[in-house]
Amino acid sequence: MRSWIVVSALLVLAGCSIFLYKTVGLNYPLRAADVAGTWRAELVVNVTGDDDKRVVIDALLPRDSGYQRLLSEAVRSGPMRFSISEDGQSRQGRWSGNLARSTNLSYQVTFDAFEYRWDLPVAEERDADAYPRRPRSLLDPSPGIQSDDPAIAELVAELDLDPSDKVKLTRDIFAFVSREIGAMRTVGAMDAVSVVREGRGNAMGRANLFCALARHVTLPCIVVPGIPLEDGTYDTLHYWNEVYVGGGWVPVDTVEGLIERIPAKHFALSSGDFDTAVRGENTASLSFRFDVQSELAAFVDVMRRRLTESNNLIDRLSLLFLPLHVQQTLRILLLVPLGALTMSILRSMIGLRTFGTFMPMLIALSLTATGLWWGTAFLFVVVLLALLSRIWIQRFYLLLVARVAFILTLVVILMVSLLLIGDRLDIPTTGLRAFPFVIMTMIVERISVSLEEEGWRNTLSRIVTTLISIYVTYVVVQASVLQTFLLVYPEFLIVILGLLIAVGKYTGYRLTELFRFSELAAPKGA
Amino acid sequence: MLIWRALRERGVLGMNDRNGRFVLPLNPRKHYPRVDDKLLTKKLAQERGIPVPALLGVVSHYHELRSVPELLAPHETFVLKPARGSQGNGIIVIVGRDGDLYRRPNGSTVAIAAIQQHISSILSGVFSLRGDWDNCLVEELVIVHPDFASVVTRGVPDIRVIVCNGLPVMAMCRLPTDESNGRANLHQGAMAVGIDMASGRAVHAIHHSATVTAHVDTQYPLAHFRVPHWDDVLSLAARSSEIAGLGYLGVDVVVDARHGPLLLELNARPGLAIQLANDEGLVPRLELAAEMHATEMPWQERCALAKKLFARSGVGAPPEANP
Repeated sequence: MRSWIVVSALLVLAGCSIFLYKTVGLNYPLRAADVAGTWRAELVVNVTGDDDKRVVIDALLPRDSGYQRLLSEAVRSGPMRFSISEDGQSRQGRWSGNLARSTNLSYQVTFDAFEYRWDLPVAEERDADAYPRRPRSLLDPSPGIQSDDPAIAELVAELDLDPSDKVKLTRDIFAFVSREIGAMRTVGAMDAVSVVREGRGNAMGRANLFCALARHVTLPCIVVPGIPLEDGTYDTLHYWNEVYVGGGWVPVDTVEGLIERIPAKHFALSSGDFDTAVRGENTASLSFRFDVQSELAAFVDVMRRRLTESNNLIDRLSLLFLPLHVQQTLRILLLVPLGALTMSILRSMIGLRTFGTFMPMLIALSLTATGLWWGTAFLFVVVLLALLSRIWIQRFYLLLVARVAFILTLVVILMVSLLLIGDRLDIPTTGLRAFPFVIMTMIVERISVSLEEEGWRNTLSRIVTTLISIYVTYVVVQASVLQTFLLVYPEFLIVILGLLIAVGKYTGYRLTELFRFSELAAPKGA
Repeated sequence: MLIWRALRERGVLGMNDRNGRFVLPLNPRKHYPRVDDKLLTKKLAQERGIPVPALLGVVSHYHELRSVPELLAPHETFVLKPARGSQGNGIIVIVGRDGDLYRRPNGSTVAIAAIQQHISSILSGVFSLRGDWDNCLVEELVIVHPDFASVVTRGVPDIRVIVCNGLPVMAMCRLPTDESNGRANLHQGAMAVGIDMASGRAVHAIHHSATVTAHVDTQYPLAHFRVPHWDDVLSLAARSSEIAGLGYLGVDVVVDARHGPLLLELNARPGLAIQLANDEGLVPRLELAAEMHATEMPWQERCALAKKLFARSGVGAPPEANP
């Protein structure tokens, strides 16, 4: 009769046992020791070979520097061989081998990121010959940095740059490139001379121009490619410079307008002699991307290193071994049961009436992609406009499927318009793609049916409770601590199963019923 | 917590309790079509000799739309109803004719073409909860029993009886108001009057979940109100549970001036507001009903048992001579 209690308890117990075994038996860390600044980046290269020719892929790799300290590296080479070559400031990885079909290569690194700071001295005068060997070698022109080009010479003359004081030079060139050279959003290689010709340039072009000007006036300079330190996927790089002044490399970012110090906003690759992060020979096709993910804790990395050495089955089954982009999907997937548990508690125990059972949860999940405020704004605009149209087309008595499809199309049009407007007004709309448009369509349909059947007062109260559910679920699912926790301890999904059985067997009053039936609870006078 | 305990003591049934203890265990899903499809309900009722509003016709296919004028021609008054509609949506009431035009209760008129269009909407499932195709029923118009005159200005009142394991356990009468636009729908502003199972007299009444003692439109004191033909209403409810095959059931009954009580529809998930209308919790009555094992008894016995078990003391006699 009460067998559900046994099943529920067993499930909770099973999940907790695995958890306890991990924490007590295997010494898994319990707390996500919150060391901000630990990141994980994965370079994923998709390459297709060209007939039987030997394929060579070169990639710029990060190295220990003022920007970062590497903690661990791992490589996936498929059928190819991998080697790393280091030379001064350059660090490159090379995959080589025969490749008949296409394959995915990957280089994964965890690191701590730091703010990099090197202050300019008050003044410095130095001849080309007075530099140490390596900085001196960075005075020569190179592809993209045509410091010997007449156009650069002309510009230097026009700017009236004085080659004697290197500090003033640095500041002058920085001021010129960051203020006078306009921005461009184009993706792709851009050399210094074409930036001079255009009068504007993308990040790479401006860094190249800065470098060419500096080298022309005998100031050793390099271009540093990097990737933004923000959770996401990137296939274009950011570029900034370093100049050798005061016995060290002073960072200069003409795009962000930063000099002497660069906050830990980018992850630096070593500079190389080619102008993208990845270069291929004998490839039929080649594409790459960086998956970047912040780690709440060095904790995950520590665990990862520990786990790779372990032969324990539980260790080997850890989700942390999956590739980064799979883990990013998992982070959301693992939250779904948690959101579902929240929804069932809100509905069965609190008694909130919402539009759709799991709609609020799906909306909450998409809010994690858009951000709370913009997400709410998008939701309101789309639902309100679609709802008004839905009420308007009511007069035609369209057949159900056609009617819903009509609203669906309208929702898509609204989303496209928002993306367009957002792009023009620089509103962050990237997360909008994650919006569940089918769900929104169903919400519009439900609201309009409810308006007709239950009147606007009931509908409004139901909209409010739906919003409450969305936000409560959002608070639960957006916590990145929980995401990491579930990634390390996925056995809590089994615990959730047990809890769901318990919630499903809850036959007590819903919180809202205490108000609904409060008249019946009042003491009887008669 | 205090409210919680008070509700428990008064045996108030909550939504979770209703679903977990009654609806899910007592109502086999396979029998839901018997209550969700009004056409099937009507057929089953007629087979058992349970009175229902007369069926004047059914439109099931689009090609039958052309013959709708002939179908309707002999009738001065009728009601169009989607077989699987809910909450009274998609219902059109015709109360008379002006030549080729049909007159609605509010005095407006519609042409036959508009009626055909509406039937076509019903067939396409516009009003059907599941959105599938649907049938359109043409029913005889119910004429409200004259005993309701003092509490009904418009619309048709109905009586909801909760039947558990064949035993009628609680009843309320839903009275349409001006606010509810003639609909007997509580959250649209209709009143709910709790009914004594033994006598059919009012025991308590609510409007928007608040206690009232008089009708909100007519000011008629509800203490004098009594459901006409109460014994027949009760037996109708008891017999209806036999056709539904459900252990926990809501039976909706209308009382017609000419035919007396008629079965309107059945509900597999009857609401809980009936407890507010009766100012009494359902749980003690339901538990009593479960102990009786009344399912196999003849309906006469079940009605007698319900009257005996659930009579409200002090309501048996009218407060004064009937006005």
